[in-house]
Amino acid sequence: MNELDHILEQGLGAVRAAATTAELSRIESEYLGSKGVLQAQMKLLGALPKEERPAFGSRLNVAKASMTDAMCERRSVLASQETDLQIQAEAIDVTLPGRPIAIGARHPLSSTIRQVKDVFLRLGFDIAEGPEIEEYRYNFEALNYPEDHPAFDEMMTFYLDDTRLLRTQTTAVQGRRLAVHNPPMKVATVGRCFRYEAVDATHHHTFHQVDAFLVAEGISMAHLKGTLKAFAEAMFGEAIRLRFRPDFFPFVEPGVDYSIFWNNRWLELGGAGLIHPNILEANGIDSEQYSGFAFGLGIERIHMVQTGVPDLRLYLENDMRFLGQFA
Amino acid sequence: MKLPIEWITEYAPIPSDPEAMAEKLTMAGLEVEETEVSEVGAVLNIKVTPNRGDCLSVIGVARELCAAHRVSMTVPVAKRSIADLPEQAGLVEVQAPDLCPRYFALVLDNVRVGPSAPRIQARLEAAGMRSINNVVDITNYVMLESGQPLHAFDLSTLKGERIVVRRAISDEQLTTLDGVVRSLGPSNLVIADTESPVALAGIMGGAPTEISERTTRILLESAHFDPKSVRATSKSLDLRTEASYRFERTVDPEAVVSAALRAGALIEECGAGRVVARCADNWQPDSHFRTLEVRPERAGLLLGFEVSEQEVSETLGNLGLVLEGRNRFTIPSWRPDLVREIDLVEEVGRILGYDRIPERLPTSECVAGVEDAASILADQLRGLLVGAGLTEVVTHTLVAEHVLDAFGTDDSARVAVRSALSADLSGLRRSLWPGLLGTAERNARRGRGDLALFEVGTTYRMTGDVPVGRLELGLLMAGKTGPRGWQPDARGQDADFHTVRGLLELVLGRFASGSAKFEKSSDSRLHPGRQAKVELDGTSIALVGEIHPKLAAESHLKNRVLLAELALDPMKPSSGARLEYVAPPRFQSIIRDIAPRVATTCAYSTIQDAVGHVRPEILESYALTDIFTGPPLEPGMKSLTLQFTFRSTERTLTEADTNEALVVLRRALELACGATFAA
Repeated sequence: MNELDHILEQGLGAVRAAATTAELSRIESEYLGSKGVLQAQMKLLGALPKEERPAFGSRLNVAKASMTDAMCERRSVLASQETDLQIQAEAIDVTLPGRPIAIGARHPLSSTIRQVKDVFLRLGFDIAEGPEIEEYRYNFEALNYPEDHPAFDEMMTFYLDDTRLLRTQTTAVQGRRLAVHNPPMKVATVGRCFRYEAVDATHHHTFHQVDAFLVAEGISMAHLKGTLKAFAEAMFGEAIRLRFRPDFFPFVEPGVDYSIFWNNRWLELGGAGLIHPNILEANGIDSEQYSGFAFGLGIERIHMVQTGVPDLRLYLENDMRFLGQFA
Repeated sequence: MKLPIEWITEYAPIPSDPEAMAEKLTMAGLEVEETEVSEVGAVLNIKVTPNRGDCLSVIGVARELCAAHRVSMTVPVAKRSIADLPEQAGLVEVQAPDLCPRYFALVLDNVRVGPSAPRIQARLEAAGMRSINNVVDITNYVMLESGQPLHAFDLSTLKGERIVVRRAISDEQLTTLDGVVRSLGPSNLVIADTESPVALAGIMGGAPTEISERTTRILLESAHFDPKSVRATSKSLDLRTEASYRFERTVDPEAVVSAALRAGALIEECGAGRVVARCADNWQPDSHFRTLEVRPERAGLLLGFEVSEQEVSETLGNLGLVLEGRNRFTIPSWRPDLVREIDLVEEVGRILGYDRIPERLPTSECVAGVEDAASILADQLRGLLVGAGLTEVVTHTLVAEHVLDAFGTDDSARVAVRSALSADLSGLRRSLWPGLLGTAERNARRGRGDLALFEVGTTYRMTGDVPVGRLELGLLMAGKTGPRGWQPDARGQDADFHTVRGLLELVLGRFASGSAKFEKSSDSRLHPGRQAKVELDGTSIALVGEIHPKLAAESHLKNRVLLAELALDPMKPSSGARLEYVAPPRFQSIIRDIAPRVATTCAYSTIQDAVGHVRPEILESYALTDIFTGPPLEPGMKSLTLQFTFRSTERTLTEADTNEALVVLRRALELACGATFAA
């Protein structure tokens, strides 16, 4: 056995014996590196007689190739083993809870208001805001309230002075819009209202209300019912049954309150009707040519029906345990 | 109003099943709130809307039921006519016919006061009225039956045995039946004898003239009073009775005499007295009753379902309207609420039943709905802050006076509620802070001291003598800002001034045009050394700071509380239409840090100003990435780490370019605040 064979045998042995890829890299440079033993054999080539050189060169190349092949093969085995080990070592407890992400929550009233506005926008209504401090004439007079009538007893009002009050209903925006716009118009208003009520689970001096109205040619109670139905289905789900019952509000004639069939009973939601012709005429609108409908309901009421919140007072208390539920 | 069913069916020939009757009435517009049981059987508790005073009686309710059942009602006619009775001249004098258009009275003698018949007592009790004696019970009975309030005076106690209907004289007094001495004036209509008031017209009788066991002669009053006058007196004396409740709404002036005769007959029937005379009837009825036309096709158009001429006349006929000519009806005296065609359309609709109304969506030209900018802005703001980890709260507009309730240094007047009944509802908030702090306190008491809250709401203040509202954003932070994770370092830091300033900068960057400037401020509600106001185009729009330590001590909050308020009117919603694309830079940037050491008193704004002054063209941006104090720095010194990003839009920068720029920047900082740099 000549020296080259001996080196090769030793080298292949070392490769087989290598336990890590790092050791393998060391062996690689020992044998195949620029200062490695096979490179050293290369230098012997020049010292050989000319006729022996091709044979030796060829043997040397074969030896290098054998080493390289063995190295590659061993490396892939070791690398795969090492990856397996690393993967094993990296195992974590996946049953640990995830790290919480800090996001906040919208208040349920503002979420509900957003939902309501989106439904009305889809139905082609403009969304208009009105002032919470309202003038007497828009809150009552423009809405056909007879002067000093028992109808006011249902509207305990916070007055600021003789002409200003805290609006008792968002319907006040109707008067403002009718005074400056011409039909056809479709407007929805959402906002805060105030009435002097003793606070309990279903009454509050501060509450939120949506009011929508439409004035155009040929508007009937059927259009009111259809629009309310579309609204109720968007808010409460498909296949809502709707019922009208006669009721009295000075600003509508006929006036109704409307209920949805919910949890096996009729649940009253709000008031509605055709805008009283007196109101249209007071704003210079021909009540023979145009008619309109209006309806309103409480934002709190909507959310209470949707979620089962039992007490109106929870909304303005802002307990984080409450608000967190509707994030 | 409570009425026993057996009484109603005496007038309405309809089935007496309580549930069916309640449903029928409710769906016709008289809401039955509940059904009770009494000695005389089922009792309906009916809610009557303020426009339907005519339904505040058995006959009124029976009429509605008959119409709903499509049967006509026959009201019994009194046996006696007014002509059968002798008129007693001078018995009644009406001095205020404007407030008392009709006053009628009967005189009864041989009166024997005692308990009333069991049947009357039982019906009154079922209706929620106490039995007093046979005479008073019959006046109440007839009121419930017909809606006409009656009053019986002991005729012998009336001075001069005469009735004078007049306005009270200033400071005149009357002890009413409830034993209260009432002080009266010219705005109160009274029933008087020749000397003094004996009753509040349409409201309550007087104690000295009331029916007693000694009563032998009676003057029985049945009158019509002006609703507004009754309402005003009732309100001013805070005295509401069954009579005033009815007079305020509707009482049929045509029924005055028949009610009196009915009561007289009932008294005679039970042997409690004998009707012997009457006064003159001062009634001057309208020579013609109001008539209204209703076009069936118009009714159909408005109701949304077809209505025939036959249905219209049948429905309105059952309600007591009289067909005058084609589609024209005479309105009965008990229905003053029917004044124009639409009122009759409603009558037809509600009696035929609103279940007939189909559901249709209005068809019109397709127009997209438009939303107010303020509404859009508030919503975008909510989305931004919720994403930043804050929770939205909604607090009261009506608040008590509060030390936090002032905006900045603006001490303009509070908008007060007139004659407020409680301090908590005495005025409108000038700031969102009291509501936010109250929310924080309530939650801290329940164990939630780490809070990041915001509110979008309107605040109010007087400007001159006009209350002006302003939409604001309020922020409150206290305690840890991060989420509650399972590794201790995942909790984040306690919120401080800079945290809240960062939020404000986020909001301003998104919604304000122009650059906002933070400057030291001096609001008494905030920590004097930890507050700033924000100016946008020279106007102060926001205030941010830590709550004043003295107020913090009162609030019982353990964590430091940070507050901010920002006016939203100068903000605009962000919209695609206002944004413009900028291409990403083509050339690499070079990032270099420098760490100037400056005195701890050196404000960061001094450094900003210095950089701004010499700003090299290739300086794209810079940021403060660290502040260090403590050894090895000398006391009173701090080291800032500033990270500069250099970039050219035209070429790749070289080291030489950035070195040159850094020399300029270091030099500027040396000059501006004596900065030194580590070798």
